[in-house]
Amino acid sequence: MLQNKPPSDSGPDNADTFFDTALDILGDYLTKNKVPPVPPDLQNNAKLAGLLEQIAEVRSVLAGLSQGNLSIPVTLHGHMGGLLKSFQGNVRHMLWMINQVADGKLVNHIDYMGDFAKSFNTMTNAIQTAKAAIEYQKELYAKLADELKIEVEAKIKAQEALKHELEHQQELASTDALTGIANRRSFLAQANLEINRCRRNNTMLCVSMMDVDHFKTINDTLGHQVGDKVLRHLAATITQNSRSYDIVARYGGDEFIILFPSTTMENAFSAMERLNKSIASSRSSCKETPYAISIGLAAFFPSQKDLTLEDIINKADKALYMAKKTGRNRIFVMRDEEESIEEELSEPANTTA
Amino acid sequence: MSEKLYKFSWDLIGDIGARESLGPLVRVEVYRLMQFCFRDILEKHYGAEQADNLFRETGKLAGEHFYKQFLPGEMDFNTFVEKTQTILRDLGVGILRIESANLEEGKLVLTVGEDLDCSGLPEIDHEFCAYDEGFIAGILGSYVKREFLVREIDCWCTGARTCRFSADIV
Repeated sequence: MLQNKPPSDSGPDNADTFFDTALDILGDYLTKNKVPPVPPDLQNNAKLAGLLEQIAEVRSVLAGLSQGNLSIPVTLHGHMGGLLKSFQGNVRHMLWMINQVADGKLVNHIDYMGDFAKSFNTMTNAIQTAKAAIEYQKELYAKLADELKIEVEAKIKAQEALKHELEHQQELASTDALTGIANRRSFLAQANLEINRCRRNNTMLCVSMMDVDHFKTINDTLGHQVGDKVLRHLAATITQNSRSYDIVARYGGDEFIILFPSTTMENAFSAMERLNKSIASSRSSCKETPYAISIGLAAFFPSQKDLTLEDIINKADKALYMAKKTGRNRIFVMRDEEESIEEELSEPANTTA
Repeated sequence: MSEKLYKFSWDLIGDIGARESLGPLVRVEVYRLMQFCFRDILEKHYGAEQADNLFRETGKLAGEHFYKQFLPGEMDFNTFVEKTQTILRDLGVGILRIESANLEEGKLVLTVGEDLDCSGLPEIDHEFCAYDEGFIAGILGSYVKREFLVREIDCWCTGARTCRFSADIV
């Protein structure tokens, strides 16, 4: 019943007309885009007006929901109002949950709203799976990085060890094991470079060859250990009396050789004199191993285009031979710039032997 | 006022396991019978407003003990919400959902569905869940370690009456 009774002057026909009109209006409220005006003859029906007002509120709330507006207040009581409020509340909660996910918090799941919840939970599960996979990859890469670092460190260490070993081997290959100075091979390599440099710079150089006088006798009478000691002493003395850029080497047996780069014969001669005096001095303070040396000195002039290192060494060797031949314990200088040999004898160094 | 003889502690709930045959559960109507009869008598003696206040205060005390018993330890807000949702559901208290939460501003809006106190009640023209207001204030206050003012701002009938609460740090 919309009214206690239809208008007083109405008969059954008028009542049918009233209900038809009221039902049309209700139908319009449910289907039309805009709420139609209530005809004047029905406006004073309070129950119809109240019902239309409630339907209008439902229309308004549904219109808001369709636009994503969750804030339209629902004053309607009863089941319909409850459903609308429930929908608003559930969507608000879902939005809060989505914001939680956006903040990286994936622990909550939705257990209502049917397919919405199913999709939301599927999404969060997928994100959790992806996140776990990323974390796993991250840990894996971190582990790989650590292993790689260890491997690289081990390789660097191995390379350094190899480098040191190589340097050691090179040193062994170029060093005389007994005396610790350069060996013959090392001397020849360095001396060839030095000759080329002197040629380029148009400077002369000198080569001095020397050996221990009566070394065989020392070995035979005092033993090889003493002989070795003599050789080590001589090597040390030569080194002490040489400049840093002179090339000093044990040439073989008791023979030693020195190359004086960019040095005149006079200066090389003076250096050999100092060496000889040093040997003489140590001879007086080291009575157990008295020894003397003979020295041959030769020069290389840049004008000697065809002269080789071997030629110069041969010259120094000849000078040494002459020093031996002329009495030992002396310096013999081979001056042969113009293929004429001159001899220059030093004064024999004092000897206690 | 006569001397106070009782101070609640969780121990006073006793050993539920002693109910070997009946177990830990009780019908909702029995719980409501007790609470609504309390309300009737309290309103009769103190009026509706004072009865609400007593229920609210009782709920707050219960919420604080509930927090200590079921939600101890440090945790982030999301974990706290999830744990609270789980325990409230498992114990049959209700279904908690957060509509909005801004802890920096100290403002939350939440709903409790299938509420132990009021789900399925006939619709009435005033808010009814004073005990729940206190209960929620007790739990939130214990977590944030601040005082909360919780008010029921809406309720509706969808077959299962659901309550919406606002919670604001005082």
